[in-house]
Order: sequence, then structure tokens, then C-alpha cells
Amino acid sequence: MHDELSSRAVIARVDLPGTTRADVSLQIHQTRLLITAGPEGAAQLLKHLEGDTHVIYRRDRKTGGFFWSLLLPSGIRVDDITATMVDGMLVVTAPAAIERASHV
Amino acid sequence: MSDFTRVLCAIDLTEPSRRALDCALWWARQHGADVSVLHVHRLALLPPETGDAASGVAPQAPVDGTLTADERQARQLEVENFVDGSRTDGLQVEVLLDQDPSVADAIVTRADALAADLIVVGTGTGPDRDHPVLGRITADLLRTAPCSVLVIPPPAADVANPCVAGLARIMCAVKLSDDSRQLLASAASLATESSAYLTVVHVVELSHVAAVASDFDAHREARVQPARDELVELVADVVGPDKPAEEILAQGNAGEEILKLAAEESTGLIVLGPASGFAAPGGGRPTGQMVAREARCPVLFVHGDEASAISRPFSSDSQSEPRAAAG
Repeated sequence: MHDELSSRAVIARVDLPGTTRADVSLQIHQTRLLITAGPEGAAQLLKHLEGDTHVIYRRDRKTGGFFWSLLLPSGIRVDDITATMVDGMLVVTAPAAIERASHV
Repeated sequence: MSDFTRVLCAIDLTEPSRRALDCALWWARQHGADVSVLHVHRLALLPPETGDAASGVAPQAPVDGTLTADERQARQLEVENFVDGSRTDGLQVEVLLDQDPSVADAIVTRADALAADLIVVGTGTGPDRDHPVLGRITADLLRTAPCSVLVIPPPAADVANPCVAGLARIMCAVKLSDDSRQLLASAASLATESSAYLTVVHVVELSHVAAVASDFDAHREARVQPARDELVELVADVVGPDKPAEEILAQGNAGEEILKLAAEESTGLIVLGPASGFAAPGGGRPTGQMVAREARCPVLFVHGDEASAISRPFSSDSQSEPRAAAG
């Protein structure tokens, strides 16, 4: 996994203990990556999409509910994004070249 | 157990201050503290020209409305009857009556003299000049109090009285400053004692200049992501990895976001740092005062010195330590 990551830029890395891959959802909305886990995360996502909240990040350590809205690097394509989840650690990456290109 | 040993509750004999008194007594029972209830009869300052300026002697802050001995006795009885309506067995309650041109100054002086750990006061009910303990007085107290201040909102039909219902959820708003660690430790300690769920909130406030910048998203992200990392680290360090807590990062006006989140979560208590440290950007109304006035639940402003005392499990000598005035 480290070899694979070395050629890619990490967009997001988040520890989600007790959360399985099936609980996690990733969506692209306009220029942002939206990561959610659990019903509480989904509810927060709904508020976000409806423009009803200014919450950017939320984690409930009791229920495992999770929501995070973060800006994607410029020039990125949705198809370039990959995500892995190992032992509760979610890592979202994109080709490192794209990250570099954004600084040209 | 938190280190509250003396609670000072300021009342003006109105229903909102009845709620404040109920909460003060409840808080004292929770923490095994003694209670002093203070009513301040405000004296009117006379205009300077009515002083003795003609004789060349400097006027000595002339006042009007001082209670006679009989009036004072009657007022004292009125205050005691008011307190008796809320008093419960097993709690030591002292009733005090002071006269002063400045209600806030009188409360601060009493708090100092009693070495109070906590002042409990109600918020204003509007521009009612007959009830000076509330409103502007509360704002003055938040600036000058030598200890923590618990501000109690007036009763509302659709809001449960936390003094009856107990605290199910505590929200601590942190600025991610040097003081945040102590403040959060205090809130976490209170949450543990009350078996309450703890929500930790930080709001990123962006300037008006940033709001109109062409690269607003990038500018915002440059502020938000480090704040998120810091918040996660703070909660992990102070609250611990195993205790139930919620982390929230929002952007916008800090006061508005705190109030909105508190209402959504049915928060029973909001914990903030000293109000003087919550200056609003651009010279607006300080966040702390905004939250205190508009929150539908009690708001606890943890004094800097008190923060370490609250979070220290057993501190026997904190009362004898001198305090620095806030501000």
C-alpha cells in the first residue's frame, strides 16, 4: 500500500475506528469531496447539500457518525480519485502529478 | 468533583431571576457548594452640580435612594421570602442585601469578599430599567467578574429547565488558542460529573475581505483544514480517545453558529472562555455576550483561573489563592 501511495497524493486521511467500508460514502459535489459515515453523517450531508448548515466537519465518537467536506485539488478528475480503507483508516488519494500540476 | 465551593447568585426578585436562583441552588447541590444570594438595591447617582462644588470641596459621588433602616429591613424580608420559595433542605443559603450605584460592581465586590467560585445571574428580559441586575449588568459582569459566571436565560415554554431535567449534553466552544486546553478540560470534567455528552465546537470566522476574494474556496480551505487538524488533536489529547464526545468544525459567525448548533442538539449547557476574550472581528458584539443573551440554555463562562481548578479533581487550597481580575 505504501508503494502505491508514494506515487499518489493523499487528499484525505481519517481514522474511523469501528467503521466498516460499507458504512463509508464518498461523493463529489462541485469542487468538494464529501465523506460520510453512518446515519448521522448522512443526515449532516443532507443539510450540507440543502445549504442548511455551515458545518464542515463533524465526528460523533459515540455513534461513529462522520461528515467531512473538503476542497479537491484543482484540476482533478473524479476518475482519478481512489480510496482505501484498512483497519478503520480511510485514505483518499489522487495522482501526485495532478497535485503538482496545480502549482504550475 | 469540580472545585466549586461558593456560589453567588444575584437576583432582582423577578421571575427570570427566580430561574437563576433555582439553577444556582441546583448547581450548588450538584457540587456540594454553599450559596450566597445577593440582591443589590441600586442607588441613583445625582448630577455633579448638586454636590458641594460651590464650597471648593470635591463632590463625593452623591447618591440618592438609600434605604432607611425600616425600608432595608422590609427589603431584606422580601428577598428572604423570595429565596424561601426555592430553598431546599440540606443546602446552606445566605441572603445578602447591598446598596450601590453600580449593581455589577457590588456583585463583583461581594464575589471577591466571599471568594466565590461562581456567579449565577439571569440574562436581560428587555430594556426594563426596573430590573437592573439583568441585561447590561450581566454584560458588565462578564467583563469584570473575578470568577466563572453562569448566565441563565429566562424561562421558555418549549425549553426544559436544566435544573430539573439535568444536563444531557454540554457544548464547549473553543477558539483553539492557548487557553483552549484548560477550557476543554473544564467542560470535559463537568460532562463526566453530569454524565452528559460533550460536544466540542470550533468556528472558523473569515474576514469580509476573504469573502469577496476570487480564490475564496482555497482561502477558506487554508484556514479550515489546519483548524480541523488542531481540533481533532485537542479533543483526542484532552478528552481522551475513549470518552464519548463529538467534534464539530463550522465556518461563519461564531456566535450564530454556536447558538444554532446548541439549539439543534438540545444542548443543556454551553461552556465558553471568558467573555472578554471573545472579541468579535471588526469591533462587533463579542461572541460571548451574543451567546449569553440569545442562548436558550445556561451559558457558563469559565474564568481563566477557575479553568484549572475545575479540571483539577481534588484541590483543597484553591480558595486561598488570589485571583486576577478578568478583562
